[in-house]
Amino acid sequence: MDLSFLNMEFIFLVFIGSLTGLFIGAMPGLSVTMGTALLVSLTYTWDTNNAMAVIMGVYTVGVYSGAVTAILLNIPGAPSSVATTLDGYPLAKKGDSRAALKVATIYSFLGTLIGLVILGISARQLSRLALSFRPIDYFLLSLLGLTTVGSLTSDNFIKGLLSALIGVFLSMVGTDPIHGGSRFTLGITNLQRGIPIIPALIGLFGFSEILYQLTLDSSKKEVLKINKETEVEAFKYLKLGSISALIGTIIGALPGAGSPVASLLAYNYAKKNTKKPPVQFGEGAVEGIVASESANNACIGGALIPMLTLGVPGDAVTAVILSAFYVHGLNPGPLLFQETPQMFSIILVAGIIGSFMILLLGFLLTPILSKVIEIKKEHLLPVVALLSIVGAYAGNTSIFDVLLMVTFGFIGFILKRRNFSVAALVLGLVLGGLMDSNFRRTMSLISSSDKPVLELLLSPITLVLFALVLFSILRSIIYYISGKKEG
Amino acid sequence: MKKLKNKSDIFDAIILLVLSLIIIIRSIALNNGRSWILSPALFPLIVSIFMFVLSLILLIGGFKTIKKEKDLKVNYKFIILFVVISYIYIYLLGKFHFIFLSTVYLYVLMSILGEEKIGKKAIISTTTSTLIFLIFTNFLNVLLP
Repeated sequence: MDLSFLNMEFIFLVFIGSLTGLFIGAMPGLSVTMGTALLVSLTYTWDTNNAMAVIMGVYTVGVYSGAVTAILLNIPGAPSSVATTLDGYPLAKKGDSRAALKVATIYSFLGTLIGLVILGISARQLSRLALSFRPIDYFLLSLLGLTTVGSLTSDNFIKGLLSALIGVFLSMVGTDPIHGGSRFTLGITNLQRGIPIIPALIGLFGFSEILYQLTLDSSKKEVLKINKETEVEAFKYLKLGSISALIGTIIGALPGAGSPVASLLAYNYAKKNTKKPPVQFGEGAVEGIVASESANNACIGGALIPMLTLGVPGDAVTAVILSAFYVHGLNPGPLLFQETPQMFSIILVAGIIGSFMILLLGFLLTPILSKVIEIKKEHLLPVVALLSIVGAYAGNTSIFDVLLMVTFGFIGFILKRRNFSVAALVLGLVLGGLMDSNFRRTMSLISSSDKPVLELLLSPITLVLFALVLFSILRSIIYYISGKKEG
Repeated sequence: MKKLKNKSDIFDAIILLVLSLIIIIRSIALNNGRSWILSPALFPLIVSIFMFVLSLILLIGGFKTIKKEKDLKVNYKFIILFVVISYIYIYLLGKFHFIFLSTVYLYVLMSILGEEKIGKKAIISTTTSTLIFLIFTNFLNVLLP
């Protein structure tokens, strides 16, 4: 590998990108996609190596820093951080915000590193596997993601399933992606583009939490103190972190599947395979943070695989990076390795430096950031409300998105009070679009085939996914009938 | 311990039954007599049928469940007030300068939540609004209303 590009300037630029990523990822409403898009426009006159150094810094640390608001404020910066809120926020509420952030930092680092190492050694093989996925496989994969709903609902499984189905239905509001007609928009023009995920996320998690805090007795509203004595044995979870990173890399390599599916599948894996966790999942289990953070950061390496080897972006951020490649006159895909072989090394090395920046910035800033929970509720709640409003507005500069965020906040509050699962609803909302479009593509293929069943089940990938979905559903039904909790 | 039906689940189930029926009807209307196999209404129809069945299970479970109902007394006054003030703030965005309007919004919310010190409220609300405005407009290129 030619490393002649590696000098202090390169490392410094990754650092600058990482700082920007930390800030963007931790701001509710600002996405890593938005940050990289902004940087592409700012760096298009720069030298390609330098531009990629900054962009990779933003990407790696930006994905990690979504965990900061998820843990401290219960606002997931992106859908991939939803699973982190499930245990991160309860842990922070117990005063262990520092421990939660420490675990998130270490396992985001590990996940990023494993994802990038896999990118380095098996990019071509994995991209071939990703290419052999058909619409039915994507549908089954999203269905598999949806079957994790049992892990997200602690009290009432039926209400959890209903929450997920409401989410799936909401994902279908807007313009139909295949035929282009309107569906369930109630004549509201702003709903033609569908329900935007980020305002819905901020509302369902962040704003509803503010409303929930208002219902607490004043005695419970006292200021939290950080438990300085709490020491978490972070390295105890290396096996779980590595398996979650593997799940993240493989799912991340599938164009369109993305990190929310990966983090939820890893969370589900952690819940089902952790025997007698010291703290229950959903109440502050460290294993939940480990799985979610390892998996969503490992998606970085995964998403880069189809982008670099085939020119097909694995997620929204790699789609922006792809545009940066074109702006700089590069040809991603098989030709990249022939025309500019060094570019692969530049991306890989910038990502690896970025992963070390996660450790550096995470450990430097964790003690400061964790103090957020010590702020009095009378001051913190209004500021979080304002940040939620600005965050919902920032994505599309739309007042309608802000109204939607507050409405979702109120809905989320009511759902929580009535034992429905907000996380399951978000899961449905995120996966619904993927399920809908791939379901219809599959139906289209079936309708034009002479042997539809054979067409469907001929591929080994389909058979494996089908078996996994069936196993997951049967397991949930058995748990429901026997009255036990899953996991 | 009192033995009661789970009224909360029964109420939720009825709402969801009505909702799923509405979606079923709207899906059939959306299909408009076309072939179902490639219809944009097929997937919503399947989802709403599942919703209907699950709501029925919830309803039956609500009648069967025998348990003492939790005391769900919640003071909704604060919640409604908080949401209404937020809607008013959003409505006024763009009609007044962001810093001024946000300062007032934060000040009012802090007062509702019980902060009594006027100086503290004024400093926190002004500084926060100004900082957010400067960060978003100058560093992030987001034009706030």
